[in-house]
Amino acid sequence: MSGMLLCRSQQAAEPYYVEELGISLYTGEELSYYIYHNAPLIGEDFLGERLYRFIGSGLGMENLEKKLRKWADQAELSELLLVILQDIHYYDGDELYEFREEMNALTRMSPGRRLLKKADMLFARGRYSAAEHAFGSLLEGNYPERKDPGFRGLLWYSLGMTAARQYLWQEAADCLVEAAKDLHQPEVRESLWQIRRIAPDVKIPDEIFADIEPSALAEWDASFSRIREQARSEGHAADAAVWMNKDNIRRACGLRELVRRWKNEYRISLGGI
Amino acid sequence: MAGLIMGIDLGDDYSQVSCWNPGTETAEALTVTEDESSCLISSVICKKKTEDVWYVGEEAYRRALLNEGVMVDKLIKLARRDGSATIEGVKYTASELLYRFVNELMKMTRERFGGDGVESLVFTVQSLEGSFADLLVEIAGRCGVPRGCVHIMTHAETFLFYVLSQQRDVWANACCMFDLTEEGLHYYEMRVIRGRRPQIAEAWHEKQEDGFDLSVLDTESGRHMGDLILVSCARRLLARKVFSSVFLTGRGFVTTDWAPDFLTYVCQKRKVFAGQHVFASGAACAAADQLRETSAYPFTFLCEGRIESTVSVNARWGGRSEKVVLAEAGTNWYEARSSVELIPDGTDTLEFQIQPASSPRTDKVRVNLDEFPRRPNKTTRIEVIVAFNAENSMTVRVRDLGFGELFMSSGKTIRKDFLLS
Repeated sequence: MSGMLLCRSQQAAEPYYVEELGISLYTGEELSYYIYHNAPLIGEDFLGERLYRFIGSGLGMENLEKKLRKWADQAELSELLLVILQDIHYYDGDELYEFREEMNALTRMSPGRRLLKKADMLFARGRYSAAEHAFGSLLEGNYPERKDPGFRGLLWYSLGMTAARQYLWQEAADCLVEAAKDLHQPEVRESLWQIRRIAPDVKIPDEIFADIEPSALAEWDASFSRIREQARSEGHAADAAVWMNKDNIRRACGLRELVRRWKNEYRISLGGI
Repeated sequence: MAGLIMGIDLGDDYSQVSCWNPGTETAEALTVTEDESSCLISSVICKKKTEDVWYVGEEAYRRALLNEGVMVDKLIKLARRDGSATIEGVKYTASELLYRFVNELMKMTRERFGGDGVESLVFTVQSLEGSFADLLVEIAGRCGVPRGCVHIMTHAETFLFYVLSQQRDVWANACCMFDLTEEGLHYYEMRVIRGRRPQIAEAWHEKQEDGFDLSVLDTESGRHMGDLILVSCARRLLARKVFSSVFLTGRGFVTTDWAPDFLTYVCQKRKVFAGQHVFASGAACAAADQLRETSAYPFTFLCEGRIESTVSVNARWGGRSEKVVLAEAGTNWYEARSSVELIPDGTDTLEFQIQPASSPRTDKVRVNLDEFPRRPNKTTRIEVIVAFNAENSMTVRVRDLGFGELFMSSGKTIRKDFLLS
């Protein structure tokens, strides 16, 4: 159904800080969005005094606060999350049905698969330090899925990618070497090849690439060059380029703000505030 | 002691002040002569030579005639033009002079009625422009009246307040008013359209081309000619309509004995009132009404200064579609400013419904939101601000608020102006 949604909930003066994502939520709509799109990140500890106070005093939804407090010990987490979504009215019936289905699917998952979903989501949200911790827990913990070489290889690969996003090239290479033992997809070794191109000092056993055809290596080189070229005109570089065309004062202000944002993103990715 | 509840009529020729008496529930005019026969205060100001002492009204004329000071007239016109006047080599802006004039009026009112400050103040002027209204609010502020206590209305609005504050038989049918001043002859007409909830109180006003300079009334032949002109106007304007009452106001009607034929004509089966404080008293009635929780005037006012159509948007909440009214027909346009926060869901067009109070049709106007950054559905919160520059001129501003820290605001604002028919 298209149209306009009326924002009824007030903006909270004291926001609700979401540690998992390093952001603050100010409105009921933002809280709904966070719950709906980040269900794997939400654990039992989400429903607590801090959230109740935010809903009651911050958003002015005292009735919802009372309801949650009353049912906190009696209802499942998924049911209480649904109560929040229903009362804020940001999602319609069909969307709530989908959320219920997702929660049911999460509940049916094994603890290992659930933790993997959480780790993947943290990675996707740029929370690399937290993602690294979750992937590491899966590798070290007593999860039956670990015995599956495909699952284990995937964990090493993800851990390697997480380290790479933090510019920890040697750690990334070590993880990918481990991943290559269980996963035989060429992407793993291509990633290692790229790391070697970015950081030539990183130690990667040469035998990893021993059976790769020279034509495939040439193709990886070409692909790497393309990615590097693309990076020059997209993403952060493009954000900065916008300011390079402005006058001196605006350029300085804009770039300062951009650097502040990048620093913030970096801090968040490391798990800081 | 309670604060004053004041109405000030600012005219180019003269101004008037009325105060609401909560005891008698009536508006009382500020008289400026010892015998309390006149309430017209000439809109002139005079600065005493070499001293920072200012006089207004007849006293200003007297001081200027005695060569004790320098006088400036046409204060309202000067202020509307954003003009200035030089007195003793010092340049005074029109707004400064108007402030001094209004301040003197306030002093005179306090001397006459007492009162601790001003609780509610309504300025009434012939026509309302945004910049002049802003100036009056600023002047009131300098005189110690807070923004929230000041309202600006047109003469048509305060005419409606005045008439509707009278006994019901005065406005059972249509009413009209002839306002004869140095500025010319203005004709006002009002009626209440029944059978609707709320009822509509409608007024319109027209400056008559066949007005005349009041100086013609100085001679016998001039008075006769003036009488003839008024009769001719009355025949044309009052023909084939049923009027309960006719009001005569303005400096030209301080006395009415110069227009016997006109009086004979208008008095036929109608009540006729001649008085000098219609607008100021209407403004005082309006000022008192502003303080009530529920208006004593349960009408939708349609006249100069009031919005003709209700402006709304449809928005969903809790699965239901709601009509969110941003400006109600009959609201004073200067004060009709409102905002609402919305989230577009599957659309990048904001649609407003425009529903004229006097007609069942609904028009639609749209604002395209595709200038805002592309984001996932339902993650752009917008603030919609509706304001008016005149009765039929609406400005819509839509501000991108982003979606908290999940999607930062771009800081962009889309502005669009609409002329409402």
